[in-house]
Amino acid sequence: MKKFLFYCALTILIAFIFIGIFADLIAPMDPDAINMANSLASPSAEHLLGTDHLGRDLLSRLIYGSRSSVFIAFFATGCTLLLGLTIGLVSGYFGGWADQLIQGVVNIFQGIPSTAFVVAVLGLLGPGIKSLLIAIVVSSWARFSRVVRNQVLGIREMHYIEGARAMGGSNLYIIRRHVLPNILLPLLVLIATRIGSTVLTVAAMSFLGLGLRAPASDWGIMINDAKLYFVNDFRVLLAPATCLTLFCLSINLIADYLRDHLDNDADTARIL
Amino acid sequence: MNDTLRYIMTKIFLAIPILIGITLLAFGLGLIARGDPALARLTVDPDYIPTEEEVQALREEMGLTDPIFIQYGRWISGVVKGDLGESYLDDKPVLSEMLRLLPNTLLLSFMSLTLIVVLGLLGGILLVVFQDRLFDVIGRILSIFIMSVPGFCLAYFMIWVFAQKLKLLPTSGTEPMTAFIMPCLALALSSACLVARLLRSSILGELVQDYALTARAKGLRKSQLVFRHTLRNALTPSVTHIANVFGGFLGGSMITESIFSIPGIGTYALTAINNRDYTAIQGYVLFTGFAFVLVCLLSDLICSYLNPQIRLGRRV
Repeated sequence: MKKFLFYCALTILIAFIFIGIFADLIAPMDPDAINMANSLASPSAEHLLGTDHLGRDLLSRLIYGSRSSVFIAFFATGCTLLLGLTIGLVSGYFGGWADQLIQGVVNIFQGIPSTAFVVAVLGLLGPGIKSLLIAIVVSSWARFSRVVRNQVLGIREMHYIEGARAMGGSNLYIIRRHVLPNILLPLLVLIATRIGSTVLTVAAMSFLGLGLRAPASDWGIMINDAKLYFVNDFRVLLAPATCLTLFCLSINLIADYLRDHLDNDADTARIL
Repeated sequence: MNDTLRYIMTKIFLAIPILIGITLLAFGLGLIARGDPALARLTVDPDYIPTEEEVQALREEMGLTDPIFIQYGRWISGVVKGDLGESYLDDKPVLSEMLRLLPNTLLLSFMSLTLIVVLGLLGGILLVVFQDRLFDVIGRILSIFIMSVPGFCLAYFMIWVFAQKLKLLPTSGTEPMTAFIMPCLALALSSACLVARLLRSSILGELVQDYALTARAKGLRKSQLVFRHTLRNALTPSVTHIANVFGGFLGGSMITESIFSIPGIGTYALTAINNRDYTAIQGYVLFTGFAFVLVCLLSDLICSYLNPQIRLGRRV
């Protein structure tokens, strides 16, 4: 049962990624083509899901929306991962005063709520997707580095690391060939949950007008557009909301399955 | 008692660098954002072009030439006295403005907290009691589904159903009290589901321990076992998570408050961001940061009460 759900979720996620990549080929219409005469039209052969308040094709906007959501989520998570991984590796592998110092900083960053970071960065740099991404990376690298460090601490004492060092392997070589491959799998759970929460944060902030800006096709913006019209026509709200929910659901199911199967680390288990 | 006291002291001691970090974040924000206040003050009158000497003199008078840490110290002593500066927007003091909006946010936070605690604990325990039966399976699937619905989608869905179709609840504002029902649900439901799942897995983790087996061998029923023995040990992760969520609530939910037009801390921050009102943002960062740290401290103390092993420094 769990396995079945996992494969369903994985299929959905991969479908979203492909739709995002090939949005140009799949989308039946231009997502930004405005046709006021045909606004809020019901589903028809021409517009499979109907149109929004400006007469733009809803389906095409959804398809382009998955591009922006997927791209931003993976990009932000990638940046966070890179930063957290590097700092966590240095901290766990080399230990000593560097470890002490880094852990002190990590403690501080973990103690400050992410809303404070988001508001601070957005306030300083002004609303926009770039500042939002910075805020997301700044507020979430600490947890990554902590998980990486805990993993590395365990691996560092293994005999095969000692063996590699005895054979004259440099630190960089040992990290690349022996440490990294062993910590990537446990990190997957954290990566999955981060992708899910990044999509949510970006959608929510775009919805508030603090992330992506209005004409862009994004699920959060579509929901924001819909909030004046959903009373009469619930379809305009339901479409982006369903996509967002489906995306998060698939991520949650994947993370849930991975956690059951790979994870022994108490720190990552805390998240869900 | 000695151990407890030492544990509390350690926790408070560990919170200090985090608090300092928050003040540095807020101070740095103000420092980078404000530009040159001396120049700004002298150029209020557009016809008057100040000379470099005048600007320099005013900078010295305003203390802007002092080393950064002295400026920081001066700012901190103001903050301690409750002076967070005045908003750029309307010249109202930030602190009193936030205190005016605080009751709404507090009300919303505490109601949501209650909902999360009640639904989460109840749900978690029921899922364990009916483990692997129909209720458990449906409950788990339903909870992961609800967790995946973003709060603002849920909010609009509820508005559509309860306000537009059924005309049961008001869509916005803070009066009457029923207006808080939908915002609370939008805030609390997904966290409640998460807590239920978390509690379920941690109780199940406790149930396989030796002491649980002993109690089972003595002939206790499963429900007795859960309530009397395992629940207290299993609560720790849930308490930590609830504290994290609640700490976030205290900073005001920008989304929920703006959807339901509740004037609170969150909408204050939203206006501040949109108007680049740096003093207000500074005040907000300080406020949420401190609230969060204090709530986390409290949750550590609750956990150490629930499970004394924690305060004795043993890894659990």
